[in-house]
Amino acid sequence: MIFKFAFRNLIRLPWRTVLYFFMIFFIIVSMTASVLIWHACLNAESTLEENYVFVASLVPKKKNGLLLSDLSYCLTDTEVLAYNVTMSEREGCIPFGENMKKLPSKESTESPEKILFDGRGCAVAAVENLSLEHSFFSGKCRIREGTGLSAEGYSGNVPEIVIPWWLAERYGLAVGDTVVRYYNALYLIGQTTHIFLNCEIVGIYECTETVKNEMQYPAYVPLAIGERDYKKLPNGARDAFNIQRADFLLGGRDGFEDFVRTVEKNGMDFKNGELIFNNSVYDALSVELENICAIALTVAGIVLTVGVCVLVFFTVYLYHSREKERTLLAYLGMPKGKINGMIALEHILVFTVAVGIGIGAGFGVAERICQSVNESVLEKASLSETITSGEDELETTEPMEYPVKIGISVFETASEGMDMEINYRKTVGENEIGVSSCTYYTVGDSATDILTSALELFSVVGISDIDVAATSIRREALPQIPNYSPSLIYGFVSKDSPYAAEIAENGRKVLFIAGDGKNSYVSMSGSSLEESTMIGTAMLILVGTYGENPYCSGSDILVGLADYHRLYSHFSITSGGYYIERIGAVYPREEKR
Amino acid sequence: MKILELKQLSYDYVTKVGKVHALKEASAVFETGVIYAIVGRSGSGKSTLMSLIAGLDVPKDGDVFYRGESLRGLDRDKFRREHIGMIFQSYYLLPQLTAVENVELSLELAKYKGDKRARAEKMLSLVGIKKEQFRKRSTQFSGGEQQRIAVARAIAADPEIILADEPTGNLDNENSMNIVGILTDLAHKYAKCVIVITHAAEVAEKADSVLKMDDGVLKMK
Repeated sequence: MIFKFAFRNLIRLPWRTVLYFFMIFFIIVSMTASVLIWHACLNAESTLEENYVFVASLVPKKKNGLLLSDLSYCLTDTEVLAYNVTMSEREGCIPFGENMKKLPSKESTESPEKILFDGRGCAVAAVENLSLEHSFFSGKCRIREGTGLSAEGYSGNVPEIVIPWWLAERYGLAVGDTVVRYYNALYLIGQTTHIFLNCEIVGIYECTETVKNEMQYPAYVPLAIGERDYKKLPNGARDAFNIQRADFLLGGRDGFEDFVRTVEKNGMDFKNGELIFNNSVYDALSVELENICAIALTVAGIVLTVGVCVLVFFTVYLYHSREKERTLLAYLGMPKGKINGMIALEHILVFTVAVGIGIGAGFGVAERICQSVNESVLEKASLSETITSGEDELETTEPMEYPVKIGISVFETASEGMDMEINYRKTVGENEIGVSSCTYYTVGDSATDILTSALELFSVVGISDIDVAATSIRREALPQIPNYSPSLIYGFVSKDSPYAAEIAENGRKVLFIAGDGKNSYVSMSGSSLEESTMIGTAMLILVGTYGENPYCSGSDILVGLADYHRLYSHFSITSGGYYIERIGAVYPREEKR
Repeated sequence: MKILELKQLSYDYVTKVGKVHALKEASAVFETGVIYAIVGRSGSGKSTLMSLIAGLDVPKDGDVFYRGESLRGLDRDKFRREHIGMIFQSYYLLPQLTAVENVELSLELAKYKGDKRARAEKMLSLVGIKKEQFRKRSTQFSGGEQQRIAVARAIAADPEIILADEPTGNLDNENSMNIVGILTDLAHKYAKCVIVITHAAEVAEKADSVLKMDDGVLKMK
């Protein structure tokens, strides 16, 4: 009965119903819209935090660039997820000599490794992270064909190259072709050393803007390849390595302050360079989002407070305004509970309908406001601070900004983030084992054997915890070796190695080793190509054996990861103390055991 | 026949000014077929008496007996629905309802078994409302007509007791006499117990019995 009475009252008293409905409707619409916008802003803030590429850049204060040690200080921070440092011949870093002047002919039937062609060359730059290269990061350049440099390339296992569009068009090159990088090392007096390095084209990039001088756009090889190739040069050709800038990808906005603290703590004195950050667009966007959040919350708060007060007042007023009706119904014998129930039901019915329609309308209003905010506020904020750099400059002192766009929506937060592959740093956690390896030549028991001994290929394997390989001497016991020096590199061989007996008898064996033999060393004498043995050497002291383990076996020599990096750096462009460490693979400690 | 008996009814309520003794040991007997008038000046306790008789309120002391049964022991809502018909000075018609719906309302609440619409229309005709006016909203009627609709509503469920609180208070003389005539007929022709609270001497004159309320004390005049 009370349903019938309530429905009839609602229909027969339209002004009261409509007034009550619209009052609730407007409150709900305002509340829904405010809360949805607030929620959309919160989503957008977290999306921005997740998608924004936070980059700290180490830029030089002086023209001659930065020291590698400065870069090393920065790389000790665990917040650094990835980094980029670019080496180019212009900076004296990539194998010194001539640029890529000789390219293979697609028409040739001969092996491309030994074919030289005349033609204009292209500068080559080595990068640790192509996506963090300024021109790519800013969106000025993008990969047109192929994948770009891969993890295999970055690790130094595959000699990859990404070439510019103009070079591809000029020589009819395509992804998958092999090109030969050709260097003419002029450092040996009276002797010219030619070096030919094969590279597979894995990407062709293009510039999204019109360029004045296309020759300024180089080909890119992975830094590890650049370093490895550098080993092929005579010692004298290795110039002091300095860098123009280094960019570090950080985990988040809060990482900036931590990063600076860590870098300072690790000894960087900021004499040569300074750290700059690309937080301007992020800050502009997040400030705008916070403002919208605050406005939405304020509106929601006001609407809630005022709305509830008005609603309560109006509900009470409506109840009291029906006193005569309530009295009459009471006199007519309607129980008080039913009278109040009928009135409550009327309010609930109106409330329910108003809430339902109000929420729906709130979504519409919120979405419309979101669109308006996107067009009028966020779009401008995302563009306002974007750095545009000149073509001639190498952007050595500007922060790197990615043209990130973010838009709020009640349905889905729209964002345009970076879509390029990032070469993340491999780091070793507490329960992980980091393993790296590189191939070298043994050259005998003394440095003089370099010219007389037969070269024997073997791999040096670096493990972050040598104890997992069941070594005969545990890591803690190494300092007890007679004449131990932390500056020397100590290694272990397999129990089945021919060296094992000698180590057992004498306690240790000294090996001299030379750079890897993955590629041919060739020199040109007249018109013929000849093998070259002009290589550097390093000393490795074998002090024990390793047992059965999943990381190394056979003729491998096992060293600690830090020693591995020092050994590697001996043959690379960098000095032992400031080598850019790379970990080849990371395994869970338990799983591999 | 005795239908209602008030025994030593007392009722107090508290106002800002202080405690008010609205009724002081009021006693009376009401019979069917008789029209009673309760007169007295404003604030003398007439309306309090009305609500106690209707079972809307419970006396502090004393009791109301319906056919010898105390109202305290009855379902008073049901008692009102089935045995009491109320008429008010300001009609108390629901503005959202038509004339016939207002009458039907009391039938619905009384759970009238028959054809409610036909009964309501019959009652309206009985009090002189024309058929073409049945579906007009109650606000579209004159004061006299509205009170007649109120009377129709009061008698629709065929209660034995009709309580009328100043039924002519808002009416002109002619309409007042019409309403009084209807109430008199209800008592005399239909054997209802009609209790009318009034200020009007001409209304009291038409009553078979007049009781006077004076400062909460009920006396036979």
